[in-house]
Amino acid sequence: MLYLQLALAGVATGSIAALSGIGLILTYRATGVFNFAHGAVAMFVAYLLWQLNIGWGWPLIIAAPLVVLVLGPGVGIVLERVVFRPLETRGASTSEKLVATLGVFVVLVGLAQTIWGPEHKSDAPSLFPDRSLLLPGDLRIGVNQLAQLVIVLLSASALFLLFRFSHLGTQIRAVVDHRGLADLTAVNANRVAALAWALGCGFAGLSGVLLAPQLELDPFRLTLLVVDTFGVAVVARLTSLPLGVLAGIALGVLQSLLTTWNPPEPFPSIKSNLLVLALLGFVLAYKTLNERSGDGNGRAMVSSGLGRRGTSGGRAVALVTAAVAAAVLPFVLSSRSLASAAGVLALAVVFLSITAVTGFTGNITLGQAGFAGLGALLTSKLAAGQLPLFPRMPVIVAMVVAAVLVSVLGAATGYSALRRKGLFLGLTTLAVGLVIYRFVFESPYFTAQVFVDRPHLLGFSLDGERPFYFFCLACLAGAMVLVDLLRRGRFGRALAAMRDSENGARSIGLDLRLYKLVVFASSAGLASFGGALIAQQQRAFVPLQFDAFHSFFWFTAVLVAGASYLSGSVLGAAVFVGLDLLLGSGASTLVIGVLALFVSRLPGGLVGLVLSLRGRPLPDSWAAVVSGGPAPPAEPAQNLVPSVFALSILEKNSR
Amino acid sequence: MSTAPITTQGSTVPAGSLEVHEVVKRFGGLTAVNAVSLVVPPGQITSLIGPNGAGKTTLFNCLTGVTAATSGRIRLRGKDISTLAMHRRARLGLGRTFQRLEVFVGMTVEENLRVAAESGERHRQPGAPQDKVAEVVERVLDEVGLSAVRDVVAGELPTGTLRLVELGRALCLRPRILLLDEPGSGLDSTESKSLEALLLAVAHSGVGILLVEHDVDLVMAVSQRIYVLDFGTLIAEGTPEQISVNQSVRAAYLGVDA
Repeated sequence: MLYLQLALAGVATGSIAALSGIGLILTYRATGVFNFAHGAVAMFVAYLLWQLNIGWGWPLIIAAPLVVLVLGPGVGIVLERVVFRPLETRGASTSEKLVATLGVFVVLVGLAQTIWGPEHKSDAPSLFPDRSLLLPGDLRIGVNQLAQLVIVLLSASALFLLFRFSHLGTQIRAVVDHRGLADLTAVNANRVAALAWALGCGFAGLSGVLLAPQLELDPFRLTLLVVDTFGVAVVARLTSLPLGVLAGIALGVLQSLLTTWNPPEPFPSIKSNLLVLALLGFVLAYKTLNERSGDGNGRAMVSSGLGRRGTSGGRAVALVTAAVAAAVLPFVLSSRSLASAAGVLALAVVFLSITAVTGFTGNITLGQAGFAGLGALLTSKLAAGQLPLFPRMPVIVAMVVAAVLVSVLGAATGYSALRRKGLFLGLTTLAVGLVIYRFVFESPYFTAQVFVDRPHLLGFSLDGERPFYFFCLACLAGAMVLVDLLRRGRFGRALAAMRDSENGARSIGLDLRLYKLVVFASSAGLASFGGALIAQQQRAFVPLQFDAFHSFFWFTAVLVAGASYLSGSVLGAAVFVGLDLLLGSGASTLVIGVLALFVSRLPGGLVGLVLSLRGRPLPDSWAAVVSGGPAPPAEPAQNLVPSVFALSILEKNSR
Repeated sequence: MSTAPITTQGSTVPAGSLEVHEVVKRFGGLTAVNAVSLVVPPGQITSLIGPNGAGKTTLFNCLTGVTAATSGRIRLRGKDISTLAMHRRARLGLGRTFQRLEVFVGMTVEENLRVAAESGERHRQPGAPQDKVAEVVERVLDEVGLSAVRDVVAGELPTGTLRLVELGRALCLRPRILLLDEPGSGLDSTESKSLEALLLAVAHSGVGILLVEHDVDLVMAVSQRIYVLDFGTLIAEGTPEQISVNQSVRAAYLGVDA
């Protein structure tokens, strides 16, 4: 009887997962865009309901239908009109659209943070009365649980019928097959796409509104919970609505039944993370997803700066200036802003790891924060002698050993990248990062009693802000040299060749597996090293800093700053840390998110823009050709903050 | 109609040939390549012609390892390469160009060639000196006639030139056998003439060429032997003279009964 009761509860929670999943599948099927911002839309719509009902005191009977039926779909229509239709019109690549959804994600989280603040709201309104009904057999079911189940069954059937039998369904299928041809046959492809976005975001909003009362409303948790439901969409191979509904409910029931199970440490996380496990399991098990036409090639996402670094004196001058400024900084900054500056350097090391994968191979990576956090955690464990089989060791040695261990995991992830590209690879790396976060960072078994020490070098303590700053600076310089090695000479040319044409590269005898594995392994190692620095800078391991959000934020920040330039990582890190200090938390996400929406018009990122404004031709004059768009428009230069100046702005702010 | 018999000793096949034996490629129910056997001897130009959709590019893809053949054997200089990965076949001396261009568009013409020469020389002799690479690149730039555009980023060049870049890139491997997928399309008549001279020179240097080409004049002018593919099946084989009078070839091309 207990099991039956648990299963009933599971059906209800599974229904929400299913609702969210079919929203994702629907948008993907009709537009070819996998909406990474799905969770953020859910969160945002839940906040809208809170604002109307609690904030402004509107009665729920008015606010709820307004939000669920009008505002939620409205978000979708706005997104389609403002962000995705222009991309479609320009013939943007799959990668560009994917980055745009990340931009939407980041913007919505930034907006929520700015409008409603980062603190929790525990009074999110519930759509249905908090009562339970007695069923025959002494079973109980909540009214809201029953309602959820009814909603998901009704919506799924309605959608199924819509796709199968209505004129509109035929139109959607036509648009899916060939947007251009559908246009010719008098199907209004834009209207169909708008409808798909409205429905997708409507479902996202509905699942957000249903989930919000079950946990406290804040910009992050609800969003992440919905990200878990990517698992539902993946099980359904991004196409099958019935399979999505089934998977959502089945996983919900299974998860609910698991609550009676008491697995030994460190495995209790399994009980609450079945969706994430399903996401990873299925994304690895499937050889292909039913991916839409996308070529998955990342080359339109990044500009090709390889092999064409400036040879002029300009580059040397810039390097020397940056080095001198970085060396002088500790003597002019207060210790608080010096700490922030060290934070920028640490983050820049992690960003470089993204540059290596995305800028040099054109592959997407959405699990980098997982590697960084793992590096931080392993470093402390190794330094404290807490890791089985490893002796206690000095912090610096521990950082290196941790980087080696994490790079093995990176190589394993890279192995999956051998067969995957684009969206599929993005989902795979996301799943790896999510699993690391849920099973390691969230488990007290691993993260209790983590002591983070700053290193000693040759008997000198690097504990003070100034020595630690210089240590970070040295690490960043080392990381830059390492990454520069990857793109130089024969190895770099081979990478560039691979990014431009995999078959072309194979046809001249290049073993792409080797190159990909090397890049993914070094990238993970670098992220691990940077993660250790981040923890040391704060003298604490903060798991939240290494969640899926940060993987998204960081990846987007690097693309915006310029993924194919080494300086892009420093600029990205400075903008990321600097804007928050300058304008309050959430500012960096907002700015980076907005820029990400237009990143396809800015193929060299901010660094590329600066270079082109200084009269250097963009190294990627072909990028415009590839992405089918006009050359990037010149934007006002004063928006740009070169890294060194950004630091001096920090200084002003903190005085 | 007969195809050259393949013996394990290679006694009837010139040493150093690419031997294709009964290669089949099926996509679901569609048989794109149906038991094709042919030989590409070194130092000669062998052509493969046929109407659009005959399976020429699919055969190329099977030979070079872009896709795995459903069945059949492929031997290069006596070694069975049927199951090797694409890059391994390339290292053994099998070069190719693509009908749908696969140029490294973000690199200069010289870099396109250099990356191939580096790969080729390294697998010929580990730790190959850079001056050997440079020598190969210079020679090929000169041979193919790309010296004038060597520093131009490939993505900015017209399609016809890009075909030459691909040809040059493949030559930089110093291949034993070269598969060329429509190198002449997009070329004007002058360029076509110089391509003809180039192909003859390459073959003269000992490389065996398998040429897929729609320009019949070019094919007739340079080929020692021609194979005709239609609906995935070889329908004729012979010298240019024999092919030009072959009834089934006329039927396949012109749609008249043989």
